[in-house]
Amino acid sequence: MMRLLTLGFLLSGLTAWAQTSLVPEIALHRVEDPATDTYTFGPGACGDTITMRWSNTLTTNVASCSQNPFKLWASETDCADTPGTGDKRYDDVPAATVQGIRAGSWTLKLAELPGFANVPTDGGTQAVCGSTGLSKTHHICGNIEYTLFTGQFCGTTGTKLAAHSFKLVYDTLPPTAPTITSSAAEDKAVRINFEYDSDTSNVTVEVRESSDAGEGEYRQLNETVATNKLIRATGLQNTVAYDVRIRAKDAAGNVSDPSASVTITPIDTLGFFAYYQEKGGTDAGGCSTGLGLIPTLIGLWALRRARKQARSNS
Amino acid sequence: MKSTILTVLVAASVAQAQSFELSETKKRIESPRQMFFEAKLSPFTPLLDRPFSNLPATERPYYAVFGGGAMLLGEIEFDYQFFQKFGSLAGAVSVGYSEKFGKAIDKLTGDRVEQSTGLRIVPIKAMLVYRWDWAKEKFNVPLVPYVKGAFVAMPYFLLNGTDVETYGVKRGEGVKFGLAGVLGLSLQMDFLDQRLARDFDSSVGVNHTYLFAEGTIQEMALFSPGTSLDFSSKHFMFGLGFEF
Repeated sequence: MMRLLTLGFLLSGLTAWAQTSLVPEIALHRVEDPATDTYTFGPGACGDTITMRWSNTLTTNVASCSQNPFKLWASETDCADTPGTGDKRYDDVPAATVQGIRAGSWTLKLAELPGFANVPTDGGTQAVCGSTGLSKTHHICGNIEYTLFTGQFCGTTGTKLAAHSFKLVYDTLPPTAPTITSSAAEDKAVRINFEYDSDTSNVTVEVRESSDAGEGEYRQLNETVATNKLIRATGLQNTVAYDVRIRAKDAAGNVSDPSASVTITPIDTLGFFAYYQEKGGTDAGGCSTGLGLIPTLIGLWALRRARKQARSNS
Repeated sequence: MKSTILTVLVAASVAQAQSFELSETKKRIESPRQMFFEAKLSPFTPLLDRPFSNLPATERPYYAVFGGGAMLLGEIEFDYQFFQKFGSLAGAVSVGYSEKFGKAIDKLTGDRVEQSTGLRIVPIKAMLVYRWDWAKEKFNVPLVPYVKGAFVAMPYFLLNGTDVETYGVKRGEGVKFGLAGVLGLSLQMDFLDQRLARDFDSSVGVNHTYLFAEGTIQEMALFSPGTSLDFSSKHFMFGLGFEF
């Protein structure tokens, strides 16, 4: 009796596992950058249209009893099982396409996302794509209602949300200004080490000669990805004092206020080559020794002679 | 007692004969070998300070900037054996890479500053290689001595910060030429597990595997004497070799 119970338990577990594994696994991503699940944009991108892609990643085909389509929509809230009021619907994908072709794409206009198109129900001011001082997140959702064929009859039913819901983030808020933690003078350059907040993607460096008082005299020189935590301002003059500051930039292109500035004077340095020259070295660089090619020429001559010999023997 | 001794002697001679037969069989089934591949490492100290021996050690360029320590040189080599009678003779090419970084020096104060300065070299060699593997092939002695004669071309790059350093109109990059001689000894490792060695041959065609050590004398100032950059060296290399 006990054995029968165990067997039954195992069989039901196996069936449940098999049914679970047959449910379509659908992924959503942006065609231009399939690796990320978030696209951040600023006011400058409000006129853009982006192309999204869905793909059924289940490796085996599914014998589905249901003909329910795959629904796609954009929402200001987390993805629910079905589109809600105010959500922006996109064209449904037929179940046969989900099972057969298994992938497809559609386009959406950023300015028509529900957060920009809907009038707030609480009577607040309607957001417009392009307005500043605003941060808004939209979720791109997909869902299919399925009924699985269990071998004899249409059995289990359920709903399957897209495995990776995609986020579109409208961001006009600048990141916090980065902090300069240390700085060093280099040859015709200065090096800045910094800390940054999580919203920062890039950091730019600005310099002005210390003798210039005006704010407008700062000029932007270099940019680096924030994770480097180090940026160089290059192309400077040695022995001239510079005021140096940095700014953070986020993925949407918003730029922070400047950091506090530091004053640094690039210095004349001697690397190995210059130090060697200062000590009396005479090397001019380049292929400075034509004599060194003599063994190569001898080798080529010997090779040519050997091939000639081989030809005459044959 | 005599019969026991006789029996032991006969058994031993039969075993030896069988062993000889096995060895001969092994030789017959061994795949042909023509190539040799080596991967090796070396502590490499170029004699860049040799032209400055009249200066105090602390003022010699390599010592002052890099502290005088060794670089780590990595090298790979391919041999093609065109003679296999009394030992093997091969033509070979090798390419290596090494770099070393130190702190640049403040021109005014002479102090070391945070800016890095570096040296990168890419030694390329064309060689003739003779391996005396006759004793190994004939009597299974697992040691193979060898000599190599090489023509060396060595591109080099001298950096200050992230860029190639300049001094007036001179740029710190170029190619040096020289000659090198190598004397080495390799240990054939097949005896550690002969079956594995045979499988390695039958499955991927590698006849023998070696551990080796070799001494190199490299003269890079033959064609540009004086106080030009001198990448000559005397160094040992250690590595792993595959004959296939």
